This record gives sequence, C-alpha cells and structure tokens, in this order.
Amino acid sequence: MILILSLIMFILLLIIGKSRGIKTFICFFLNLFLIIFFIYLTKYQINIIFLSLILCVLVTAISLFLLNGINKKTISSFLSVLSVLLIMLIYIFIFSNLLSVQGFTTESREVISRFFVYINYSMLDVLIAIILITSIGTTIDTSISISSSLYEVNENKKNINKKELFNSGTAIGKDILSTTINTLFFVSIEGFIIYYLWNYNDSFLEIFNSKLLVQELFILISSFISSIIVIPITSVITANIIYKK
Amino acid sequence: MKKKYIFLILINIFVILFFYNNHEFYDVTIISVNEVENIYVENSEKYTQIISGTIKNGDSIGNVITFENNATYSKVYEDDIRESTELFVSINEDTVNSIYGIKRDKYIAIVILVFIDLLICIGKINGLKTLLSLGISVSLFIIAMNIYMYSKFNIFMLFIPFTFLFITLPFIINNGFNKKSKCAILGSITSLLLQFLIATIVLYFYSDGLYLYTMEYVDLITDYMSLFYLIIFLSSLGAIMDISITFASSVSEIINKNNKISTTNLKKSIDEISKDILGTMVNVLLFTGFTSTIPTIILAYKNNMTLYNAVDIYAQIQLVIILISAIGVIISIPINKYLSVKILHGGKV
Repeated sequence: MILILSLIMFILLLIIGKSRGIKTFICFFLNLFLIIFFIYLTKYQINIIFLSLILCVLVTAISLFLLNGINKKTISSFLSVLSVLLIMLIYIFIFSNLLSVQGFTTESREVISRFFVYINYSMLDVLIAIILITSIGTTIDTSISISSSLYEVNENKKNINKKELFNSGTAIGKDILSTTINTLFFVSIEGFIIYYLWNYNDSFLEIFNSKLLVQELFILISSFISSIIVIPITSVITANIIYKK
Repeated sequence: MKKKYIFLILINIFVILFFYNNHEFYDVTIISVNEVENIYVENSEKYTQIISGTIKNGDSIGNVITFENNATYSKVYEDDIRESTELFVSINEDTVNSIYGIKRDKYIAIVILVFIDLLICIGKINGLKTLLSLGISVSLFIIAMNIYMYSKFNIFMLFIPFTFLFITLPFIINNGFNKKSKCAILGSITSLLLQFLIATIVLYFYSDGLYLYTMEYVDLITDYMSLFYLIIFLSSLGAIMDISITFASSVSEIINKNNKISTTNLKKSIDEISKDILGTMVNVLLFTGFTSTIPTIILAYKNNMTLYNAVDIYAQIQLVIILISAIGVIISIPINKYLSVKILHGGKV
C-alpha cells in the first residue's frame, strides 16, 4: 500500500515538478527516514528533547539548503527558524509541565493494553519533542516565503529603509497566516473527530479538562503560535541582514 | 488603536479570573494539592506519592485531606501530580476513592489566549479575519458531528455539504466574493474530487494489507471505513485550499501589475511559483501528520518490538493518509494552473 502510493507520488512529482519534483521526493523520504532514525536513537536513552532539537535543525537545513540552495535568503530563514525554535522550546516546556497531557489517554487504552507501560522513558519529554517537530514544517514554510519576498522587494526598490522592509515583511506574513492556520487545523482534525465520538456528551467545562482534547488543542495551538511568531522574527532578521550589506 | 488593546487586556483578565475561580461550577470535588512527598523504590521506576490537599468546592470546602497515589517515571498513562496541581476526585468521608483527572481548564485557557493575542497583535485585521474563519470552521465541525451523533447517518456523506462550506466560507471571509475566490474554490473542489478518485482506486485494490486495528476508532463506529475516507479527505483539505488560493492570488497579482501579459509568459511565472510551493507543502504534511504516531511507536519499540515492525504497524495508517494528501497537493498544482489562467486571464489557455 505504502509502496504503491509512494510510486504514484513519485510519478506525479516527476511529471509535474520535473527535476524539482525528484528533489522534493528525495527530501520527503529523507525527512521521514531522519524522524525514524531519531526514534531509533531513543534506544540509547538519549533525551528526546535534545534529539528533536537536532532533528529540527537538520530538517530546516535540508528543506532550506537542499531545496533552495545556500544563499542570503535561506541563511536569514535558517537563523529565523532557529530563533523561533528556542522561543517555542521555553513556551512548550512551561505549559507542558502545567497541562500534564503527556502519554496516552483513556480513549487509546485499547492500544496501551497491548503493552507494558513501565518503559523508563519520560513521556513528557516525548510530548515536548513532538510539538517541536509538528510546528517545524509550517515555520520553515512561512519563513522562506517572507525572506524570499523581502529580497524581491529589496531588488525592486533600491533605497528602501529598514523599517519599511520590516513592514512589508509582516504584511506578506499576514497574508499567509490565515491559510497556514487553516491547513494546520484540517491536518489535525482526526484527533478532534475521535474525541467527539468518545465524549459527545461532555459539557463546556468537561471539554477543557479532557486529557485527549487538551492534548490535541495544545499541540495544534503551539503550531499556530509558532507560525505566527515566525512572521516578525523573520522580518527583523532578514531586514537586518539586508541592511548590513 | 489603543482602546482596542485595553479591551483585549480586559477580556484576558476576565477569562483568566473565571477559569481560576470556577470551582463551584463543578459537581465533582476538586482538591488543590499543597504538598507532595515522593517515596522511591530502589531500581524501580514506580514510586508512591503521599499527597495532601485542600478541598476547593462542595460541602466540605476548606478541609485538608491526605492520600496515597501510585506513579511512574515514564507517565505513559497517569497524570503528573505535583504541588499546586488541582485534581478532580471522588471522596468518601475523609479519604480519596479515586482520581478522575487534572483540572486543566485554566492552563489551556491561557494557551488559547496567548494564541488569540498574538494573532490580533501581529495579524491585526487579517488576524481577526483568520480568527473568524477558524471559528466558523470549528462551529461547522461541531454542528456536523452533532448531526452525526443524533442521526447516525453515513459520516462521509454527511460531511460532503459541510466540506463545501469548509472550502467556500474561509475564501469569502478572507478575500471577498470575487473572481479570485471563485477560482480558488473551483480549484480546491476539482483537486479534492480527483484525489478522492485516486484514493478510492488504490484503497479498493490494496486495502487488504492495512492494519485496521491500529485505528483508534475501529471499535467505536461500525462504518469505520467511511470515517477513514473522511479523515483522508479532511486532512488534505487545508493543504489543497492553501495551494489554490496561492495560485489564484499570485496570478491575479501578476495580471494586475501587467495587464497585457501573454499567456506563455504568465505560464512561465506560474511555473516558478509552483516550484516554490511544491516542496514545502509536502513536508508540512509529513511533519504535522507523522508526529501523532511517535508516542505509540516509542511505546512499542520500548516493549522490545523491532523498530521496523513498530513503524510498519503503528505508522502505516498515518503514512497512507499523508501520502494520499501529498498526492492531492501535487495534482492540485496543474489543476490550479489551468483554472487560474482560464478564469483570471480571460478564458484563453
């Protein structure tokens, strides 16, 4: 099944994207392989937050430098994504400790019942790691859109100042914002459907205390926040790099 | 402008105060943990917690209660209880019978507020529009699920009219009802239909190899294949809409700037745009979709399953969804290219 679908994807990419399509295909499976490799490394009891940070940096480097080449645009994006990653790490760390939504919920007890739960591996760290990985995709996407548009603006308007550059950066970001949030919402709709099927009788207050719903909401909103804060951060960093020259 | 921010701050304060002081709204007893003492056992990740807390609502409000709780380091299943956590419990005179869960509402309220504040402060008017269209999508989703719960209609069929609204309303809210929106709506619907066709054919021939029992909803709903199709359909919806609006906006932007642009040149510019979108969108689908399987894979892997088997079994369904979504995104590119040239550039292709 996976093989057939991958084959269809490869053929379509080849027809529609040509050489760029092949690059996309390689990049997709390289990223998938990297995620699985990092899960493999948990065997050595390495902290998964540390692993996920390295994974995010690697993935950012691959998506930016392999797909778009090494240039000023991609370097500004790279620095911006790293800054967002650090801010998000602090935010996620604080709230995942407060919310306590790590691990599995009563709704997935079917899956759990097959396993021994004393695995000596912190599920809280796993939660933090998966939130970081979830939000990295859209963060890179938004960041590269802003930085390449800003370089475009700078080319066309020679004596633009730093403030104007920053403003056009946030203006571009605002346009992308609504579609990004829409995309993220629909990608994670599965969790909400499952929650609803189990707990359709829940009252308003029960909804906000349910571990499954809060877990899904927390992951989703964290990726929203990451794709919002990347807008001003990329604008500032790109404007500064352009202005320095 | 300043008035609006004061209004926003007031709403924030009001919401936080409500969620921090709403104990009386609950019928279940809530206790606030004052002290936790952890007693560890050597060479074991299990430990015992001696917890003392104050009752926050009901008849015995203010009473202090002490009880024991079993915990583990990994916390695969149970809650993380520490000082200042608030717990829902059932009490019997002076002892705690069982812990239902943690009171999370105040923290998730703060998380939601941080999101809304950032959206409004950074996105301004666009932020408000985004919030509005997100709110509409969420409400539509809740309405659809409610109708399903009460009618038990085929869930996939039920969502078809809603999918139409999911597509049209955000475009109209964010861009108004114009040629651009029309083009994006048509592009999204055509791509979805084609994607559905491909998905149906592939699933028809190859669904034997699917590990259906790893779906969390298999025991919950008799017609789980319809739900599986629906999840595939909805997961890719946002991404396909993203591509459609990007095409419609960029093409109308190019035409606005240069009214007399020839179709050949327009197509060349469109090819440049599609190159940029393709790679990033496919990766967004991978990262957002795959991560939900990571806890299960780790649990299985730590239970001495080989990594290959763990990924093969527990990530399979999710990978199928991601790949079908990716295929949908890829085919939406030529469809949108054709439609945006045809609709926005006066019918000449």
